[in-house]
Amino acid sequence: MPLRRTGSRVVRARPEPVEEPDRLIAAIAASSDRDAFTRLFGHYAPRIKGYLLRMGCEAGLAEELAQEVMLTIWRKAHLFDASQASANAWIYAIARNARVDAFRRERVRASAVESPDVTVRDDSDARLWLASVEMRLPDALAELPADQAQAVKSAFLEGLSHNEIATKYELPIGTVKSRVRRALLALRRALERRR
Amino acid sequence: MTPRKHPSKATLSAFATGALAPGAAFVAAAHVRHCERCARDVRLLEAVGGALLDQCAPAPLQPDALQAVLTRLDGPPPPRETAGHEDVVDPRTAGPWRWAGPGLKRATIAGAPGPGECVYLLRGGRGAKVPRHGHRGPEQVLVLQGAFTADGVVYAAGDFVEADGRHQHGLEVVSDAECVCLVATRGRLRLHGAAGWLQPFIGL
Repeated sequence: MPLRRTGSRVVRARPEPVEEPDRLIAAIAASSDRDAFTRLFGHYAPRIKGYLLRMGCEAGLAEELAQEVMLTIWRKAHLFDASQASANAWIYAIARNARVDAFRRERVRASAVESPDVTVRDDSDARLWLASVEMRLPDALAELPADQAQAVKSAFLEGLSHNEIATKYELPIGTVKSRVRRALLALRRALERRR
Repeated sequence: MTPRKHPSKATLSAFATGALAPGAAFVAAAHVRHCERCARDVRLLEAVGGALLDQCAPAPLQPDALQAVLTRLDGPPPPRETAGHEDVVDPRTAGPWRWAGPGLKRATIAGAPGPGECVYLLRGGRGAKVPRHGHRGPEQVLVLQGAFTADGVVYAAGDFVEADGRHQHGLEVVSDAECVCLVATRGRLRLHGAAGWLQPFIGL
């Protein structure tokens, strides 16, 4: 991961600008653009697989689900609404759902539920808010105290419950809960302060 | 429809991180879809998840993975085996409806629950009662239409109710229109990564 220096602080380089994956997803939606898909695949597929591995999927399942998530991105590109979510957040939600769904399938093999895809909200402020969130989150995360950052990452990237985090790091459950809560509050405050 | 009763912050966090049990997540997603307040919380949490995903250490896929996916792009979508978070519950398409007590009917939603869970629609007319009962595990209820009371509190369309394993409650339909609820329950079976968020409520 390249580093850049700001003042005396060394921080991680930002992820790609948010406009870029947005545009690629829009190109897929508008014209089934395989070139755009290939570029999205190059950036996201290995990260999705890395995320699934961290979430505890075994390697074969992580590979299979990463490919499924990319297929879902292709099929649902027309549902991506940049006023509702950044590309990162949208893809994250698809990857998370794919893992939950795989978990479901362990027992369930049949579905009786139809699945029309909906969700349209008119929320013109949301786009601006999300753009600012997307830009500021990496720095806001980097500014979290180490113990809080670890708690948040354990929750998001390892799928650990509060109890499991407590066991893993030999901490009281109350400490874990307050760290996660304080971390999310701090993130929210950091994001709103700089809005 | 503006819901007044919402999932706890812990439940929304568990939903956003994928730690909530699949059936509970199905019910939570149905609430979030119609609740601007919770949708905003979930958007923030998913933005955090998205930022962390983008910073994840890349794990190379198989050398032929891109080609394999490209050849599948125009193929038919795979048959659905499960109901995803984005699925919409329509009482008219669920079923079959079975007797669930005087004035009550229930229809299972097969694709939504995870191991050890049960997800179903429950409906009843004015005055229909579910007697006082407890749960061995947590229960999530979303009111889809109509209203019921439990412990003197009225729950109306859009409201989300969470009950823990120790809590005893009974409920009664109080709306003129039929009341329809989406319910997820879980027994004693524990799920990896899912139960802990709810354990403080269950008292395990």
